[in-house]
Amino acid sequence: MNIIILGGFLGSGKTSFLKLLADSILKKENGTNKVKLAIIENEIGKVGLDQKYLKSHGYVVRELFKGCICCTLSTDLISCLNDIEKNENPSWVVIEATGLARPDEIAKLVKEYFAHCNIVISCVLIDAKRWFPLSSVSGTLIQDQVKYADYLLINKIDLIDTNDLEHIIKDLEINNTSADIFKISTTKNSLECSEICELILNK
Amino acid sequence: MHRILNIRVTSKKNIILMEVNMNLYEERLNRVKAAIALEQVDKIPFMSAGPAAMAAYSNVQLNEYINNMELNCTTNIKFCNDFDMDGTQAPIFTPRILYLQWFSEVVAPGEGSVGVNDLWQIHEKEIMTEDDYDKILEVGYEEWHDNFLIEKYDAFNQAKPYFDYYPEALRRFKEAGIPSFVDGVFQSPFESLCGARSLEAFLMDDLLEIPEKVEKVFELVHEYNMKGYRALVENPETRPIGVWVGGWRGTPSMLNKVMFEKYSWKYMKELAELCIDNDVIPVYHLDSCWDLGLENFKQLPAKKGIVSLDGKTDMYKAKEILGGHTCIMGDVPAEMLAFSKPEKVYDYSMKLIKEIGPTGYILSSGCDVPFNANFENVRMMKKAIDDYGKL
Repeated sequence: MNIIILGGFLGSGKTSFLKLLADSILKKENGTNKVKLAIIENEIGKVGLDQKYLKSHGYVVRELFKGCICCTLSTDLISCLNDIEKNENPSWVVIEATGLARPDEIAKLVKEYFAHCNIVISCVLIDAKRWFPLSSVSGTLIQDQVKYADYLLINKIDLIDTNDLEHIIKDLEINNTSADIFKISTTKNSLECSEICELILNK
Repeated sequence: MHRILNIRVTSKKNIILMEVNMNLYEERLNRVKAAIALEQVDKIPFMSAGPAAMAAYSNVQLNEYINNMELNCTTNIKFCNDFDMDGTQAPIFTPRILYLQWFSEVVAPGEGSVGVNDLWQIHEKEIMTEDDYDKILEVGYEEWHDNFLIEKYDAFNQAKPYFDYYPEALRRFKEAGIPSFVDGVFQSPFESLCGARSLEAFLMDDLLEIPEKVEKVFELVHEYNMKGYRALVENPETRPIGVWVGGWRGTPSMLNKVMFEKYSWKYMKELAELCIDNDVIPVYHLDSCWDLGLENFKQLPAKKGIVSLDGKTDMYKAKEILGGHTCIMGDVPAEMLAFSKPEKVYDYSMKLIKEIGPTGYILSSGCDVPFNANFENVRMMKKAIDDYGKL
């Protein structure tokens, strides 16, 4: 199973991007008999949202909203992956992480405790409109989310000017020197987003 | 006559058992207190956390566990006894009390889409509106608080069975020789208001857009909370051995330093001081990464509390900063308890004992023992303690 971890703070557009990514996976795996995609949703504050859409497209969707708001999710995640592997064994699993999660920690967890993964890719979405206010509020969380991602997707670029966009890119490049950075708008330019999804899937 | 004699014999046995357990209770209490005072201990204290795991250990279904407080207590005592714990952080637990803590919706096992033996869920939504800040300033926090919790969640009735049974649970734990080190949760206004507003709205709309108003409300919430906490700790009849002082959302990884100090630490510090002034142990329950907040605990009196870490904070950094000042508890990670081989848990525990301890240290899971723990791994934590004692 190939695993994509979709991270980013609350409201950064993870679910919108997830839909495009899911469609790209379906397209890529078209013709195979295998279950193509399972989605693990672990976002706070949006229980069941978009489940109908995702399920209607034939994806396996699992929710993880369990326990206290802190610690036990990590063990549920591995149990969930084991269960998916046993029952559906899809080609791809997308984990939509909570906005408070660090994708690098999830990747570490998956690599250490889940034996059936081929590749683990982490994509972090950044809300262009709120990058500066959020950076000013946040302690280390936002920077830590960005630091170890494979792909950084600056979303909602249609809502900011070029100057701000350049500043965001500089910020991100300081924090993560190796990630591929893309500028996207999931709502205004889904075609371009789909191309980026394909690029990620063909990594 | 025969029957009466039997009763007398049984009673004598019970009395002997109670005396043995009272000695055990004192022994365990003193062991943990010695660790807090950074004194030599006869063996490393071992503390429990993780109610769902306790239910799983006894094969008790979660919906039964959370709805039957007597069974809940029995289950927890069994877990603590079987693993020879030196104390508990919850003699009983039901997620129905979480309404009062986080002001968020709780979905219990057997309700909604949650199966009867599935873990409870916290659904964080924007239940409190921005207008509620004005209402609080207008009518006072107490009135708003009571109305909000009753109207939105029927929270007091939900929690009633828990509070009704609590004194009996404490009595039973004491009779079993197990001290309870957490009999309450003291928290800053950040935690409940964040839960009621939802994190995104609270951070982006409130703290950034209307900080003065939020701060005014914080003061009212804190004043109300402190009044209740003070009444609890100042009365010898209700004074607990210890309480949690948390640490969930208002963390130094979530907030920048200035905001952390202003909206979280300022209140946590007062809560801790209230505990310490009244000889109550503050158990600083610190979820997520507190690396940048560890220094703050040096502002508090030394040898009075427990810094409890959940596997996200660097234990070795904590030792470097707080060693010789505050007792550290933790942090065998939940995923390790669920999925690692027992040898790995044993080695991890032994390393903690040697390097974070042996003085000023309590071995525990990082936050909860998870629902899907391999209990052989919990046994390995205990074995590490026993083997270290033989060195």
